[in-house]
Amino acid sequence: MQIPILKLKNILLTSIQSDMTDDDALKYQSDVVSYLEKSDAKGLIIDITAMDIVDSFMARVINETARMARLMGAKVVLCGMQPMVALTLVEMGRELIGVETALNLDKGFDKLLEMITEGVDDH
Amino acid sequence: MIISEKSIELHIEDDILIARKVARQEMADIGFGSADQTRMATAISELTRNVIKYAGHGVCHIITESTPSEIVIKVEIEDYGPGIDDINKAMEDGYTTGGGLGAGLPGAKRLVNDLSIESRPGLTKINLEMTRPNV
Amino acid sequence: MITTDISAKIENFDITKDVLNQLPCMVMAVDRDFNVLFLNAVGCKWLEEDLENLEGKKCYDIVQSPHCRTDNCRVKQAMENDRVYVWRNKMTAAGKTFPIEYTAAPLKDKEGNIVGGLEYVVDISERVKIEEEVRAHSRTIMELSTPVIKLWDGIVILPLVGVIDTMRAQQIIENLLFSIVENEAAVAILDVTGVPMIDTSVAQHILKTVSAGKMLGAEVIITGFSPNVAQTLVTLGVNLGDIKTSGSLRDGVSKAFDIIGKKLV
Repeated sequence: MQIPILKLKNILLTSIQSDMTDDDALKYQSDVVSYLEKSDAKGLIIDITAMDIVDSFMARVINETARMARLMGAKVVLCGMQPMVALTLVEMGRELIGVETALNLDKGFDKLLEMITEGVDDH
Repeated sequence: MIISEKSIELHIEDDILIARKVARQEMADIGFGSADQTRMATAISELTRNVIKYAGHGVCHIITESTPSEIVIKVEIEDYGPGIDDINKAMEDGYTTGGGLGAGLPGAKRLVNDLSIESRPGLTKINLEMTRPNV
Repeated sequence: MITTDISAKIENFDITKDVLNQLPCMVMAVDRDFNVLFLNAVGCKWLEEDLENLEGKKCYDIVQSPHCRTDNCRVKQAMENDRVYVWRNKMTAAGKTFPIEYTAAPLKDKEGNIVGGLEYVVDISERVKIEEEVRAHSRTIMELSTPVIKLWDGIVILPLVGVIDTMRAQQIIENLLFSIVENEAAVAILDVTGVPMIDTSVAQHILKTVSAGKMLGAEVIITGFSPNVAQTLVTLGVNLGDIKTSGSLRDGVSKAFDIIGKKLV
């Protein structure tokens, strides 16, 4: 399954679907990184609205993708996490996700633009 | 009393998705809330991945029961792989042999009421259980 | 003097015909192969069968239930394990389906050998209806006890009143997290002014709410810790770490408006 990576101005927009296998997830990660290099984007939005389960493997992939993007100079916002996914991650061991978050795509976009213009250090 | 039993063969990664989808559906059918569905489905995701990664194949049995006073889900995941060397160590936070933040087993345990493991070379059985009052 | 000679009185009755047939529940006996041996009058009425026509019929030919023909059949278990079982089930008879409770026991001959199974079945439609009502009421109470209020665009507030046990704490967390997403709230205020006591377990739930809220992209502010609660939490060694607290609801609300970029005048 190919996860579409959309470019809007200088922002990359990616949306992860729930029915994604481990291989899909790793492919997504390498796609994002190579797209970042090609496009010279300043920001990355990872939208997980459609994911009703984030287990430790998926959490790691998301975390690592965000870290890789940051190393390449992009700001990252994770948005659309389902409430029960957040609760489950906290119960599993809270610090699984160390990325800036926003409630939905709309707010995520605002936050990312703000981070890019202000040059906020999100490390 | 309503009892339902489903078994999912675990061979490829897609089976992880099937197992957790079935568990969620079965739980929803007898009245588990979305938080508990997410907890159990996540725990199943962690454990069935281990099966596919380390043992190659196995089976996931999902049993749900509903009585006037309680709803129960029992999940038994078994595989025929090399087994877990040191169960106590595998239950420790941060211990991992396959990557994934090492949250697999201890994380799954924190999500469900009850988790027990029996393991020897050739057969590993993990039992998960969650019980809630039937309201 | 009143006569209490039971044996004299019972002689006037045929146990099978008069007592079993007048029982307002279904009574059935089967042999080990589930051939019907006996069905009382109520059973015949429910199933629209005549006792004479039952010769050679199996119980599962005349009754349908989710247990029939499976290992879940309690009559089968009663025969196998020499035990009595009471269980709830659904029964379909003569085109109608209704909830039942059935009691299954082994049927024994004079020597005590198990030769079949025995069951009596009670229609519990009324009882189930009442239970449903009770359940609906407790759900309503549960919802009433954790009301999430939208205070302003981007601010939700959940005032808690009364004793919080673990179950209610779970409910509170879930409601609050869902309402954060639903209302696109940047801030959620959890006001505990009306909570007389908070133990370690409830404090853990509060901590979880704050972390999960942060993960979603919202701030959770706790307001109204009473001196009593503050004392207990510190004594218990609960580390509320870096969570935002405010003494009063008023301060909390003003902090919330700060966060969404509005000033309270």
